[in-house]
Amino acid sequence: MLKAALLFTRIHLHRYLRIINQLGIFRVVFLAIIVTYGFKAALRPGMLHWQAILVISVLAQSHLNRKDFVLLNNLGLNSAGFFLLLYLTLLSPFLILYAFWPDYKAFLILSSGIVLISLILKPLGPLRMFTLPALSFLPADAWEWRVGLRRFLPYIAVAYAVPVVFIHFDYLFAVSVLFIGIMVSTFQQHHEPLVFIEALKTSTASYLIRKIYLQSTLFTILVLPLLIASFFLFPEGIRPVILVYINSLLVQAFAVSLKYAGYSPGSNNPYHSIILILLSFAFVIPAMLPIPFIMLLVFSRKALNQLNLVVG
Amino acid sequence: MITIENLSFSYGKIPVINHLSWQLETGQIHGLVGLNGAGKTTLFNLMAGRLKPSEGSILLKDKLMQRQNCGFMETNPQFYPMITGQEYLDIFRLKNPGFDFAAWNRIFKLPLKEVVDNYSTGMQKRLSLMGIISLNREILILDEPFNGLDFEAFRLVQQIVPLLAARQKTIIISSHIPESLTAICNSISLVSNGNIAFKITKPEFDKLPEMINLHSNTEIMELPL
Repeated sequence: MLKAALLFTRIHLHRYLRIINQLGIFRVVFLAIIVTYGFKAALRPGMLHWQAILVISVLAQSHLNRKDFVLLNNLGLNSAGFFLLLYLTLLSPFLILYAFWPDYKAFLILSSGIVLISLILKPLGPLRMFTLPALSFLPADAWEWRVGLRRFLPYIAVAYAVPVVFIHFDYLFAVSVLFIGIMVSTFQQHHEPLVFIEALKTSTASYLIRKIYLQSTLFTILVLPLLIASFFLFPEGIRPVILVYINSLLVQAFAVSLKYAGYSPGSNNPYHSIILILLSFAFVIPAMLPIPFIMLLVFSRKALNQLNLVVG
Repeated sequence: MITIENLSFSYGKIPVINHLSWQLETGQIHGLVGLNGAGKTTLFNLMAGRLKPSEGSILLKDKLMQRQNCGFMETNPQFYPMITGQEYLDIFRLKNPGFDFAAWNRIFKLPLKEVVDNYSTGMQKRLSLMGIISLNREILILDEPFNGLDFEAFRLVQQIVPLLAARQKTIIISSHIPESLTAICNSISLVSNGNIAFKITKPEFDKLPEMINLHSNTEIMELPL
């Protein structure tokens, strides 16, 4: 089993390198700056356990969305022992860092998180209940939202619950807006069939504008209760929330442009989510703030050209 | 002999497999046809040990069938993004280090150094099939292996499967298109409402369309305006 865990670790690391290679030099540099800055910021006293929580949430999301059940079942590896070894190996740099850090909380959070996640061998039962609503109140051309909301409803519920439960932590409102922003921006990674666009019988420019409008409006509606609650509960701390909201709003518009800039009917761009996550964190470094806007301008043009090419 | 007795399984309160009994001779190719949602994939998942039945048993030579008796190829094989064909097969090498992937790839003709994301559907299915074969399991369960295959890949699968059966492998194949099975199978069964409606053997295959019509409700008399 250890041999299998080490092989999987090696394969996953090679895959990540290939994905990074696909991103291109500009995005890699951007990624490196953000990661280094975020990592450095998280090393301040009392912050490291937040980093551990972030690492665990990324691991949990990836574990709960994995589709390798048949492969692992064929190999007899769909077991807690295998996942434990795999995740311990993959996250060993973090574990070693936290183990030697004076604050033991991060180590405890990460190690117990790995153990708990490794015990989940099937998709979580209760989450399936939330995939049922048809969401027919949404406009028919917001198909990404109908599908996306059905899939992510439990996570959105968590994003709402966290600031409610930890009501005294004002920054959690901004964190939730950021989290929802990242989540809904990834709705745009699936490319609809051409007939969907043709059925609307509209020009490509109007189509693109409509899609950007829908994405931005629905995102705003979704986070509005958080913005309002934050404004009334912590009026002095509303600025960062607004900053995160505006940045996320630009990312939503950019997500639509990015999708149609490389539009290929029926395809899927899972790597786009990396760029969208990076841009969602652009507010961390003030100098990076204009980047989502600049990217939006550049990619809107590309999107229009691509739509004209494909749709005609 | 594979003996499935009184097998039942439900997703929540919805019964999918309903007191199903089925007997399959080992070392032969068995086809399974059925409408979407009839329970084919669920039955395969139960046989492959991915799901636990609420009732009944699956026996192989009078002993409870184990997960390691089966290799299961899903309808749409899932691959990790940006994994190469070679890396995918390296995972299977863990279970059978002696398997000669290079020799088999002379049959499957796959660009193993390429990432699987760039493969066509047919190539992905061939890669998945090569992985399953490399496990050297007694029973191979192939769920819709002909879906999305081009002509060449279709013929390749049709040629490989009888050769595997000749090596005493028991192969169970499902398909939406009964005609794709008649050329290679020793028996074909129809699953309907979570149960085996009938099982016929090769000499009776000419009756297959008629029997399927009897058990399905798909005859169209007139098109709406």
